[in-house]
Amino acid sequence: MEFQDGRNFPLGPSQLLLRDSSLQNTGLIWGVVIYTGHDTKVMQNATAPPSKRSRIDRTLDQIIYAMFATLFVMSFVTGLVLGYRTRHDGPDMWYLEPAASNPYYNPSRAVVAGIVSAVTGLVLYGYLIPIALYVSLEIVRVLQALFMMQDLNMYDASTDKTAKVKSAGLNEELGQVDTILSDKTGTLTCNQMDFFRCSIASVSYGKGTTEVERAAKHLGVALAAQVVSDEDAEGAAGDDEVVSNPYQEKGFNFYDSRLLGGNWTAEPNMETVRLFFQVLALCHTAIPEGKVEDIQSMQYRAESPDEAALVVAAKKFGFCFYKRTPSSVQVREDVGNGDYVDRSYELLNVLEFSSARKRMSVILRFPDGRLMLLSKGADSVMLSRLDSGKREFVNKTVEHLNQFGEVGLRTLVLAYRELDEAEYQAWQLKYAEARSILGREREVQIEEIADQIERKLVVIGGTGVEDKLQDGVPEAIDRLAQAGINIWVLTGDKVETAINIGYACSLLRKGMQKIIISLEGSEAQAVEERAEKESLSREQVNKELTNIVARQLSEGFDEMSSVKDAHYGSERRYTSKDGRSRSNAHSRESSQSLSQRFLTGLSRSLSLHSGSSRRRSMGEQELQEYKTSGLGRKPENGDVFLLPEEIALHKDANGDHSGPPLESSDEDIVYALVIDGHSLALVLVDEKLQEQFIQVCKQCASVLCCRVSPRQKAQVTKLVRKGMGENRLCLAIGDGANDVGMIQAANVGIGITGVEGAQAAMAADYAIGQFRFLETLLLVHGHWCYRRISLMILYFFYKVSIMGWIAFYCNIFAFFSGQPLYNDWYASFYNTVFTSLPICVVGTIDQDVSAEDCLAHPALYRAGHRRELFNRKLITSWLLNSVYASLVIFFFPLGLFWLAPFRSGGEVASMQEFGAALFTCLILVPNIQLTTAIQYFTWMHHLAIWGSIALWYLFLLIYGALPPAYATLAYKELIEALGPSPTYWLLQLLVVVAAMLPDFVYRCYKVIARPSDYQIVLEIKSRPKLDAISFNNK
Amino acid sequence: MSANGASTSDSGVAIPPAKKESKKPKYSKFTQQELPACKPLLTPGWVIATFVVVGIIFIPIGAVTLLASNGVVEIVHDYENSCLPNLSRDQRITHIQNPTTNKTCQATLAVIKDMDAPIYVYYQLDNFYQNHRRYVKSRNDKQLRGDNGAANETTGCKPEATINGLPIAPCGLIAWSLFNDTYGFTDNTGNSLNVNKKGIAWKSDREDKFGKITPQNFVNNMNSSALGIEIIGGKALPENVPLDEDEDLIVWMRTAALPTFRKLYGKIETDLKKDQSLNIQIENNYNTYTFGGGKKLVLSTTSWLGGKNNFLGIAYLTVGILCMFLAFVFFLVHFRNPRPLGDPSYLSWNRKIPSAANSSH
Repeated sequence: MEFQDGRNFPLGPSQLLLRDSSLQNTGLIWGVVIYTGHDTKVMQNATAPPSKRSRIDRTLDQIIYAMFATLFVMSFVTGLVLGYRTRHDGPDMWYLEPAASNPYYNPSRAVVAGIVSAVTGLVLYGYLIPIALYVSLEIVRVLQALFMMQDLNMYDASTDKTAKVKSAGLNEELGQVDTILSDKTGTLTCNQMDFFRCSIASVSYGKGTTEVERAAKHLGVALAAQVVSDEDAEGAAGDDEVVSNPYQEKGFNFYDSRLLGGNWTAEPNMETVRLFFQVLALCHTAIPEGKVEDIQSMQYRAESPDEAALVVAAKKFGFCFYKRTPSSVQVREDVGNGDYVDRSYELLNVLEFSSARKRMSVILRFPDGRLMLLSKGADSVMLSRLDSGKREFVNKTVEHLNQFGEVGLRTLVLAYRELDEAEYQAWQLKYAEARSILGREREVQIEEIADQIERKLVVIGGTGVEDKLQDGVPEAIDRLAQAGINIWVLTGDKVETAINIGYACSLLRKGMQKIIISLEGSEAQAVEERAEKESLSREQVNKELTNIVARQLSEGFDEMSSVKDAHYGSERRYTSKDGRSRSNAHSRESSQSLSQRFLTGLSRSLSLHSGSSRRRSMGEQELQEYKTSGLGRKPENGDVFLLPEEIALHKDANGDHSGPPLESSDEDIVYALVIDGHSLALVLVDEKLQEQFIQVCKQCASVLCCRVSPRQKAQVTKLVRKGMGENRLCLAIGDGANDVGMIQAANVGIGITGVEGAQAAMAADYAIGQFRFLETLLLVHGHWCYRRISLMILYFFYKVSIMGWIAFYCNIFAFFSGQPLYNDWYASFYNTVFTSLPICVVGTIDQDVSAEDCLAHPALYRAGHRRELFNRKLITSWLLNSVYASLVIFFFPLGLFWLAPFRSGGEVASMQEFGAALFTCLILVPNIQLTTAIQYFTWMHHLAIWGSIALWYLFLLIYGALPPAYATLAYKELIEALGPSPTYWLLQLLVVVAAMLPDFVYRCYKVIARPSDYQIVLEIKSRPKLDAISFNNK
Repeated sequence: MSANGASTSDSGVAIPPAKKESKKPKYSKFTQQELPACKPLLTPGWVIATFVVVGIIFIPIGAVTLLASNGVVEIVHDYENSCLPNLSRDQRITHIQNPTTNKTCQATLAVIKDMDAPIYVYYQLDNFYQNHRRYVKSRNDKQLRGDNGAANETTGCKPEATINGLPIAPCGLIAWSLFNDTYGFTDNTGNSLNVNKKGIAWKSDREDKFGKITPQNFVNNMNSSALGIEIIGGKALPENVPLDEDEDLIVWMRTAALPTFRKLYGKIETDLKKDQSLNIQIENNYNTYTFGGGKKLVLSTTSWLGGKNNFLGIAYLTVGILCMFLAFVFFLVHFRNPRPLGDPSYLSWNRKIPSAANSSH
């Protein structure tokens, strides 16, 4: 930017104020607006929001087409028959005076008559097309959505947010999800970093157990190295949970009496500890918020939660950073003895964090005049720039950080360097020069020059920050897995970290066989090295790497199939009990080949600021960076999570396995696939690999994709949708803007309304506050909605089809002349008044099993995967049932009213009696049929069903009481003609029973011979009662 | 106004901002979908019980209705052909269309069982589409109700709306094609049996749908050949009898639902004894010969359920017996292979089917 007085200022990313930035600590700002309108990031990233329709909706369309086809055929037949009969029989029907007729029935113009009649037929049988269904579905879905939003089980008290439904049209899809693609940070984890452990001067501090440790303990798996605070004087206290930590606050979950409360001054390496705290308090770009007077309640705004956690930690240790000016950082320091001194550090340079550098440094002049460079960063980059002379703490620190990483903490190395005044001045000039370069060169230059000063560092320690899992995540994932849902986690983490988090959140379980596709191994490294030596082109390298991935995939696939073969082969041999030897047989095979490639779970370091940086800049570029920097660091010190021979899977939540031992769960091997970003990138561009990849994924219950960029997330989602075929339904869940692509690409997108802003929630179809609510959303609401919507559609077709057929039969008997045998109002109200309410009530609040049972038996959810409640077979059988019912409803009254008087007074039925009796049956049958389709009756059900029936009689009474000019055919029909006749009432009982008989027989057959899952769950639920009954019988 | 506005805004500032209300949904059994519900559970026991109960209810009903139907005595006499024997279709048509031919026809019926009064007399027409759209619409209800000036209401009555520019009453095809065969009965002693034609129409029809309007310009009352009309209609209506007293017309105009129908002709209020013979004098006027419709005379008593119709009884019996049979079948299936209720091993995910693991997805 050039000012009028000739001064030039370079503008770079650090000057960029992004949307939603707030201005602080300055009164005035000069600004240039860049990237406006369509150039804004939002617009650039905006893809047209996809219009998502549920699969059931699409099937629904097909049924509608079929119904339309039927309708046209019926109308065509109508036209044809009427035309023919008018021509042949018409002239003889003198009572119609056909010759004097308008063209509609004139025998000499039979073609016209036929066409008109066909069109009339379209209108008459138009009931076949359930127009009201779409409206009703919309209403019901909205009501379902309201229930979801009202659900207290999905209310997040911490953010005061209920679940939000954006596309209620996908409600039933929630009941059929078979693949969940999940983001990690902010979705599975809170994205709230807590300072948890630290290592200072070779001493490890901090107590408490991480989620990973807890999970390991829960699974009974030994971690290779337990993190025990060594030289832990308090002994046993270290193992227990720290019940109440007076120092705990957001970002700080650390307890160690040796450091807190000013006790650190008593530590042997007191000066190093002080320096450690100073690094925490000074080396950052956070901005304090709060009053100096109330220093303990100081809050910090930092680029990432990790960073904030470190500054908070410094505050807690007694080094409270409270003010930042462009040239100074002010800290209130604990100098021991409970005294505090305000110190101002002159801030000379900030060497900022970037995902490539993976470190940040500040250069400060301490109040005592020392010129210090304080630095923190990922171990991978920090360890290579140490001062070889001062490696006092390096080994121990690395060891500790490895331990931290293993238990799922994000680790950073803290180091410093005391600078020589002259050296700094020289460097400073170069640095300033580099900073004023314009264009692409600048970044490279700055990085290079920063690199020159960040050398000869002295390690003082390391930190472990916990990215806490959200509440209930392992349990939720466990249940979702039991529900038969495959879970994919797409994370930016390293393979090792991802695996450990996978264990922590129950994504990987004891006994799962892992298949790891990674280009971090020596093979890939060899290729890269050769490429460098022989200067192979990018394509060639990629080709070779692709081959490696392909081989790994096919090995994985072979393993699975061979294990399966061995598995079933052995099953034939061991007919019963001997599950043990069987599992040995296969695990030997699989674990041998796998064991070499099991990566250890040592997650030693997590890149600094990885949370935020990933969100900001993760892309192809970082992928490249990762590839070059991340290779060849494969620790060889053994598997962390030893895979036990025995495969124990889901335990039945209800503990109902008291009966005969059920071996099935012991026999299935569950696979998990772990793939890193680089391999994934190659998979995504190669069609053949995609196929292979999908083949493998289909067999895996969990898939972990590590090091993936936002773009890859969306690509993976699309791949899953495409590769797995129409039968699969995938759901994506995420919290940040980087998940938007994935959320939009998935069949159903869920946004977490977390701390990351609302973009994901805005793009999503459903927004929830916590990952664990997904369980309720899918297993309870999804399950119900799937059932409700399925039943609703099937039933709707059933009832409209009955009406359509009856209209057709009537027309057959009326010469196809288009004269309905019933009052028009009956027919108009049939769909809208007399049969609509019950199904809407059922569609809104029906339950097969209670919410409690849905969660207790997650596997009930698999009905959705099997499409148990909405499939071709069901549609056909409901439609066939409707044809049968229509025959009964039409021909039974016909049989009754055929010729003979229907009353003791000798009266014979005319059109109005026939029509009204027919319609009585027509309204009774669908309404009562509904009662056999559901097993849950609240007062609303009763009101709707019996109310609808009562309404019909009431309508007949009231409408019949109107003057004959209005009542026409219904005039005094019920009160005078039908009501007093016993045959009318006998007819109803007969028709209802007869019309429902086949369906009911089938249901009974199922209850007795092939009970469905929910039937059994209901039986289990009411078993005490049932037992009591059978006991009484004895 | 502005001053007022300012002062209110000031006071508005003075009020401390209300504490933000929690969005936490309020608990109610309804919103949490925990409404108390009746959850009937179909168990094998219930299945069998249900079918047995249906059977137990249906079989007696069937038996009773069948019995009632069998108690009804019905005599059907088809006179379409017997009144004009040995003639071709064309000859019959010529005969029936000629107003001058003698159309009287005799028949003797044997009473097979005792028939208690009242004995209902019906005529039955086959293949007559009273429910044809053109036919059903061809009437004017307003005119039939006979309000003031109703005689001129003839909309919808074409082609029987006007004659020589004068409105026809009752207009329309239905009234015009009124059935005009007549029956006379004498018992074997030669006494003629009175046929009561009162009270054969529905009360609501007589009182509310038809009014005090007398026939005017009614085509059937005129000399059709003089009018130059090719085809003749049905019965002539007595000029001085208002429509609401002409029950034949009222019965006829309550159109039938089906192309084969019976309509009440009258009531014989004398008991008929078994083996008594009944002489019938039929005026065979109505032309069913062109459209091949049948004509029958029916004498029937009624039971508490109505006339002779076995349908209801047979249907009830069939359904009842079927249900009993089903109960038996389910009983066998269940007790041959009883399924413990609420046994979790029947849950699909607990069932051990090796192929299921392979075939899934």
